[in-house]
Amino acid sequence: MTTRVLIADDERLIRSGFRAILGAEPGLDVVGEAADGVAAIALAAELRPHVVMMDVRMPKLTGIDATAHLVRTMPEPPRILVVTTFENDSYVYDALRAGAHGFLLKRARADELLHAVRLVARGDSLLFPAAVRDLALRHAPVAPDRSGIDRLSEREREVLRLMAAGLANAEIAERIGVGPETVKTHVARILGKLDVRDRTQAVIAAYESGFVTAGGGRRG
Amino acid sequence: MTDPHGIRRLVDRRAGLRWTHLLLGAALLMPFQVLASTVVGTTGMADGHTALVAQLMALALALPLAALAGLLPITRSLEGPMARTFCGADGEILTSSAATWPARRRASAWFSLHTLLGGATGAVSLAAPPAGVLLIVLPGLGHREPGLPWLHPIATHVWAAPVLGTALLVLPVPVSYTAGRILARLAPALLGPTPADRLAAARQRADRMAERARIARELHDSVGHALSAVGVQAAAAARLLRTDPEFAATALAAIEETARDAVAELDHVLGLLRDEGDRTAPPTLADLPALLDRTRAAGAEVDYAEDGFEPAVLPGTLSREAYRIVQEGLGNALRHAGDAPVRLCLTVREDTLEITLANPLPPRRRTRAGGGSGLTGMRERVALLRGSLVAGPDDGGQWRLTARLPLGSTA
Repeated sequence: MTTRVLIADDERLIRSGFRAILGAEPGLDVVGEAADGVAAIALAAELRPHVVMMDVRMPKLTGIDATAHLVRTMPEPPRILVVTTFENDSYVYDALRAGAHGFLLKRARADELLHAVRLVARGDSLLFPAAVRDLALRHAPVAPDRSGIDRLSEREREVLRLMAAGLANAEIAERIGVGPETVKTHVARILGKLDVRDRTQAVIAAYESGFVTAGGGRRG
Repeated sequence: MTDPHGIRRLVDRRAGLRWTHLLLGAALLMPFQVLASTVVGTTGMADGHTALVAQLMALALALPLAALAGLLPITRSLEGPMARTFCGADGEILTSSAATWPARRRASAWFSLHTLLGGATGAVSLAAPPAGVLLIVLPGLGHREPGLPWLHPIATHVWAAPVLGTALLVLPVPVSYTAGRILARLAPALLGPTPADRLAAARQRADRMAERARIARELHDSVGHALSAVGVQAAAAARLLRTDPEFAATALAAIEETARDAVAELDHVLGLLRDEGDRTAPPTLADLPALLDRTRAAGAEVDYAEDGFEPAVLPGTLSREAYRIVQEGLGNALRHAGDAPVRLCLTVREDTLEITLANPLPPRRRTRAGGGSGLTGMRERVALLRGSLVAGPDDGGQWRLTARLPLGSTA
């Protein structure tokens, strides 16, 4: 099945460049372009893409607000890949907390871009560059809420740590020596116990509660 | 090195400069004194008094007049440079016109003090030595004493006269020394910036910096976005070069235009940022006291000594380069040595200015024995001035910088 992609970015050259790269790939189809957040929401509702490449800074409505709106209001929202020029943009973190599923730098190679779109469409893994780790720690609340983490079993905590490190299910399975189905069950239980929507949110919770720190060190 | 406890300081070059400064003060007093004398004479205020008393009455009138004149803003732009050149004071002295009333009042106080102490020193310098000589030869004059009124009491103890005479002969020296010290002490307080001035200047600087930072950030943003777009278009063009050459051609055209515009913007903004930076004149060794103050304020202990060093008579290029050397040296010491004391010494000997800077090396030695790019640039410029620069660790565990700059080498 072809993956349908909507591109939302206020710069014409970025839109046309992404469209050309994605359009040349079999299995990917660019169904529309939006130049601002309002158009992004409208087109997402109308065209029902699988993936939205969402620029963070746009006029009328930012990528963050558009993401939050789509995730909240649509019964089956598209997977949202946040795209940004600068790595340290604090908007990126906000977009992730609003429900985006991954993020990508505009300076990524064409191969990385295609890889990212496919991954996010599959929903199987995360993109968590080091910069986001740093942002997560900067935004960690002063009084971290460890209640969710405390509910996790020892095995579940291990799985969460590996998720935070950016490993896919298959890789986690290999690391801890169980089958991939087992890992899927653990992940589902983690999402339930932490009361989060998806893997991205689970990892954010891990950082914000102080469960995981930037150096990959552990605090219990 | 200047020996702070020796008798040499009474007659060294700094003392000489301060004496000159005091005489200039006396000269500045003259117009007011003459005016006041005329008034005293015309109104007959001093009738029945001696000439000396008349002069003192005139002085009592002249000083308030001088104080009034000192309130003019231009006073500081005259007195400031003089004080900087001659007083050998520690601290910042402003040479701009005094704009605020507090600054004008302080400049007026300085002017009054300068003229008063200058007048006194000048009077003593002119009157005491001749009187001293006269007293010294008095015993030899016998009956041919001049009929000066003030000689009469001394005539009875004529053999004490030479002693008194010698004292009078050298009297200008301690008088000038003391007056000079007073002025040097007060110069930064009366002619320098107040804490309020410093605050205002700092705020202005902060505003300027903030504005430049804003301009720089915007540039960073705009160029970053332009390069991003160029990157994406180039990637797309590369992938579609054979399958869709039309697109590739359009993409390349877009890349060209974007790149050109971005460089033009860089050009424009860099020009803006550059203009802001070049407005101040490069500092010379006359600005050394302020540099030492700032370094000490930054937490470093600086032992400063000088010998035969007068910033005023050094050629401009040499002075500016010497300042840079000291600045670089102190900066390095601050960075590497932390709070170990730094010894800085500026000596003028045999027509050469010698700068030595020494600080103990930190326990963890850095392997840059030759120094970084700052030192390389310095070496080149010192070579152009036909001087020498040696920097590196010595066998006493210290890091030592020695620069020698010949005085006669610059235009």
